[in-house]
Amino acid sequence: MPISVWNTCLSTLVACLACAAASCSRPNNPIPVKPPSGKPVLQAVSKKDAEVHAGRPVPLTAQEALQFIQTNCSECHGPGKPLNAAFAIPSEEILLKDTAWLEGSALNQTVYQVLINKLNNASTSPSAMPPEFKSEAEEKKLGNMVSWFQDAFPGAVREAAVRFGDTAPFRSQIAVNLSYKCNQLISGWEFQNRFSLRALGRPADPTRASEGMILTEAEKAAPATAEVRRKVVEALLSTPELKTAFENVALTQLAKKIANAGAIVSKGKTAQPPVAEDVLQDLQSEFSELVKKYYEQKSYPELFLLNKVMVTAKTAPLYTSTKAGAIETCAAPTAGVKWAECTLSEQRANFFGTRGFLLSKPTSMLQNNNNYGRGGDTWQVLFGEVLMANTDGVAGDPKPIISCLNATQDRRWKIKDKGDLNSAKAAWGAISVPSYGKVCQGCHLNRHLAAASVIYRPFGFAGEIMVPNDMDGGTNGEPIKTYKDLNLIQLNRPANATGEDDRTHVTLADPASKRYEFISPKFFADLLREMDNKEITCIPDSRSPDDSSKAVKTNSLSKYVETLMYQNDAPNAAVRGSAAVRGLTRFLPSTFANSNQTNLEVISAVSSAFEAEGGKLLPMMKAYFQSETFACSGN
Amino acid sequence: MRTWFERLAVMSFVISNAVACSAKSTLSSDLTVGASSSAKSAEAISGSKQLLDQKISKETKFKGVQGFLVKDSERLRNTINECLDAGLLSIKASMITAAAADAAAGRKVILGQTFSGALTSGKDIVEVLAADLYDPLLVARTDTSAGTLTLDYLGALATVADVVAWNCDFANPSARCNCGAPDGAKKILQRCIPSYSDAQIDNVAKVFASRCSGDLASKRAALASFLSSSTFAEAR
Repeated sequence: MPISVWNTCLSTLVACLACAAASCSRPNNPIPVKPPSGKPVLQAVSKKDAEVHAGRPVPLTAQEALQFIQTNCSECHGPGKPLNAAFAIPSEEILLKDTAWLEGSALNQTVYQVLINKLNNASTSPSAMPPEFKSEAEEKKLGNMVSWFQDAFPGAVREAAVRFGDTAPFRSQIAVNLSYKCNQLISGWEFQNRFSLRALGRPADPTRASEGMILTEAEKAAPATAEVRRKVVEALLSTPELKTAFENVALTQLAKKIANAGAIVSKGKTAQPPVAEDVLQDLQSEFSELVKKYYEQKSYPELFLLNKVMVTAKTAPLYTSTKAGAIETCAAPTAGVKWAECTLSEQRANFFGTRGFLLSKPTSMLQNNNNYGRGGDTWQVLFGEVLMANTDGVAGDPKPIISCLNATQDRRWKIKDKGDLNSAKAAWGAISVPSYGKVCQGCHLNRHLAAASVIYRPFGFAGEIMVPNDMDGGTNGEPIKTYKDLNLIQLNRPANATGEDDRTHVTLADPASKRYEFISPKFFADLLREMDNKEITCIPDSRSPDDSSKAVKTNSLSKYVETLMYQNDAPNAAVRGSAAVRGLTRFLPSTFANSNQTNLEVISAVSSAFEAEGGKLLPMMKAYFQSETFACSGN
Repeated sequence: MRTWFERLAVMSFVISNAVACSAKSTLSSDLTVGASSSAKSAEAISGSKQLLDQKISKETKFKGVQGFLVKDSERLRNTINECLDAGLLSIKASMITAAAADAAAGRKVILGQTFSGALTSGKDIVEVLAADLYDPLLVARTDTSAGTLTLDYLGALATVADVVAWNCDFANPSARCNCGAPDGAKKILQRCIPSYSDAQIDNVAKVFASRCSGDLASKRAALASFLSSSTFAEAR
């Protein structure tokens, strides 16, 4: 049965077990295969191969690897197939042409992990794939396929290790393949001009000695080698004037891209604008101003965790409140100063609690998406992965829900046939969705949207902090007028009201009898009162999603974001939060090459800079600008 | 006030540039017509538009994949400030309302009622037209931008070029925007489109300087022609 929740995602392959179990077509006469033994299946190797690939199966060739995918995966994930939405494999012609489609896929690290899980007979998420092989011969190629992946996509392998945990026994044997080659590098001078235009915002000026003399005439004319690229970037960024230009152009634009500045709006579906038009521009710049202030002091992950926000005279009042339960204090900058820093209240915690972030997705728990949009945006900022909204699909058998998620009272449903309580219902409560099936769990459990729906609960449509009294006025009072005026909740409307019907929002009042009730202001107020419980929700450890003992219990936005970024760090990691590099390696090409794709060279280069330079943003940006990818003709 | 026909005439010039410059080797053809003085036949306009549409269609295929085809508004502003002079983007009252003498002589302003209340004296023309020039500050997290050459972009670029040319102090030989000054044209090209080789620039500089050597109107037309060309917009 299809489901209609805000965010069930495509980007997990857990759905694939559903394929095996239900609707996906099967081979007519599948050859039975034995359960994986847990050991890599080795092919005979030549002596030379054995020396090169000691201790692991011989890699397939690229063509063999692509054929392996075509043979074993396309039947479910190919064009028009049931699980194409979960992981889109292109047509056979494109698939077999070259590996570009896989290199550009944001899911390649997941593809690698499902193969590893199959090889290791692991039952952890993402589910081992493929559920069945076409033949025994195909099954025997699995180890060789994994070896090919390690050589061809070291960036994806690295990401998989960060995201899904140690992929032993392969991790120590990963041959970091930096053989990415651009077909044609631009010349040294073209590179200098490109870097200048994109990072400094204006062309290189050959008539200035400080710019025209960086490269020799020979270097200017020849292809931009790694040394030439390093020379240009270092020389230009060591000039104080140009460093300022870099901060004002490159750093600002990257931060605005990450913050989704263009999506920060003053008006939404409601008639009453939550924020005046004239403060918008300042909100669009609040994160970039913070980044400019702290990028040399803090690591990239720490920028998201700072409990600071930059404000202007126009935005400071947005962080000031005397409302009981939502007290905030923020002084405006002194006269003549544009920006000042405020400390965020405990509820706002960090970047994800700022007005700018919250207004880039104007929504709330009072609406049908129940904060899943904000949860999805959090995931995208940190990991660069765009979750798909409203994905219908094969549900499969759900995994057990960990106990801390069951604590919430949010069990809302939407009736398909308005007015008929017995008609089909779609889940959208914080518990209802993740308990529904594996497709739903892909995002709501494994990407923690169930927790996000609770974590973002105190924030209203415009990012204001809501308290229970806003909903029901407390024991004796009236609801605060703002919420009635905004019509964010349907207060006491008659059942036969025209337009949106109250009956589309019901809650399971009595699970035993399956009795439903319409939602009420008190229901929302009770959900807000749940926030007093410091362990109201949890984030399961991604390596053991079914084990409640490993879950991080919290109701804190700060703890939530920290856990997302840090939980997969190695115990001895020199710098924490390397998982966030995944997001950065998507935003860099997007901002500076106008590209919606990244590749293994960029991932490898930026990841290396992260570890070598304490996670600081500037060295990671330099690593990107010095990459062959950035210097490649046509980009 | 500029009439619709005159705006179309400017567009035709831009269009011809865009088509001519789809191949970089035709750089010099960018400078063969003046921005404010060119007037082509309706057929020429139509034909050029068809070619431009084909070009746009071709470029659109690559939208969202990678690469900047044109300068976004911020890079356009910075480029003009750096390679010409600062302060050339400011709108003047004389661009909106003709002085009595000009009106009597039949001379029209470069910014007319087309923009109604959007243009006021003192505003930055790139800021006013940023929405048509790919404003990078309004790009959302998943968007790419500046990957397509559009008629909106070219139209806005022509307006920016007119404003810059109007503001340039051609009476001052040392002004960085003065293409009529000795050696000035070449330096402008070197600074504004540095990705071109010296040989290419030498060639075009002669044409540019020649166009920029007449009366004030010719100088303005020459500078505006260059700035509104796709060569300038696409230089990277």
